Amino acid sequence: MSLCPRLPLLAGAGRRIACCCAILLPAIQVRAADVSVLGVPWSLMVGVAHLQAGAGTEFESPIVSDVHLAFLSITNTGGASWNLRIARQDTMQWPDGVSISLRRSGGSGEAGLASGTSYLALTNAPQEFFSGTGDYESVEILVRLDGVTTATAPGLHSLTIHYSVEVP
Amino acid sequence: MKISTDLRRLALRAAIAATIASASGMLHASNSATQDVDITVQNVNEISVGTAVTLTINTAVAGADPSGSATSSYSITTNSATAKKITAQLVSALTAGLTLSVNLQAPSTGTSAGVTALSTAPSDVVTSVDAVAASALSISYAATATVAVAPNTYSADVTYTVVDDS
Repeated sequence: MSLCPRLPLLAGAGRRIACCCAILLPAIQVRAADVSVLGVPWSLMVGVAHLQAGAGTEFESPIVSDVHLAFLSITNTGGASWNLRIARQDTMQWPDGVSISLRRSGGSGEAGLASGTSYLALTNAPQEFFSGTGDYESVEILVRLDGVTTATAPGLHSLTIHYSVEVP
Repeated sequence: MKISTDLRRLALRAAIAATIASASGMLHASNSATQDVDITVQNVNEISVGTAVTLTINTAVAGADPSGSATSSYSITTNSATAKKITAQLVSALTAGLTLSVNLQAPSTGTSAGVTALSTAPSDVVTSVDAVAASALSISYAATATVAVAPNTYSADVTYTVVDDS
């Protein structure tokens, strides 16, 4: 009895290889995962209130720390292990010396996750942020902003954070 | 039959290609999401001065008006991308016969105008100030009174302002 009735034109070794492929493909496709951001675009106004001690002093550094940025949802993992990577893409001229760092809160809903509880500065190159196994509905991400000084040009500075989940 | 052989080869190649492509996808399976971040840095132009100073006019050189002096300090923070200047002016006119002048130390990015007599109109006292945060910069006050000014205590308020240096 043929295991591959839809491949009538194949015979011999070719048929066996193709047959194995047809069997393996559905199993391979399960090993994917989705990441979604539960949160709105994050914005911050830096002004006089962020000076260390009024006139004559610089801006505080960090400007903010441990501020809620978003919740991440990692789903459709099929129970597999995964790595979450982060990177930044500057959509406008990003000022030199100013950095955005992320960490996860380490809350009760994050049991089993590895790494990611210390701040990691965003770079243009993707970096591994944290990893886990199986689905997580709500991983809280916190943000820190460093490096704003009087040399930082006033105006709007924007970037986009890229989250990507990989199933090894 | 040739047609059948070609179809077999084609199907075999397609199956192998699918396997390679799928295996590649298995190694790098990923999905991504994005979040925008906007940071707005506001214009900051802050200046502050020390506490009130007292000038005692009790010295005189024969033939010249009596005078006195005092010092104070100021601090400034500006993140302006264009040059700023500091102006000084009296809130109200001095009693006739009194004069008041100031001399401000410039921050590292500015230029002092030196001794400047004050009036109720703004006078430039430091110019060409670029982005800087500086504190404890000196202000030297000097006052004179003609002999026509009756001995008494007189008050004067001086306003310092950071404005565009155009």
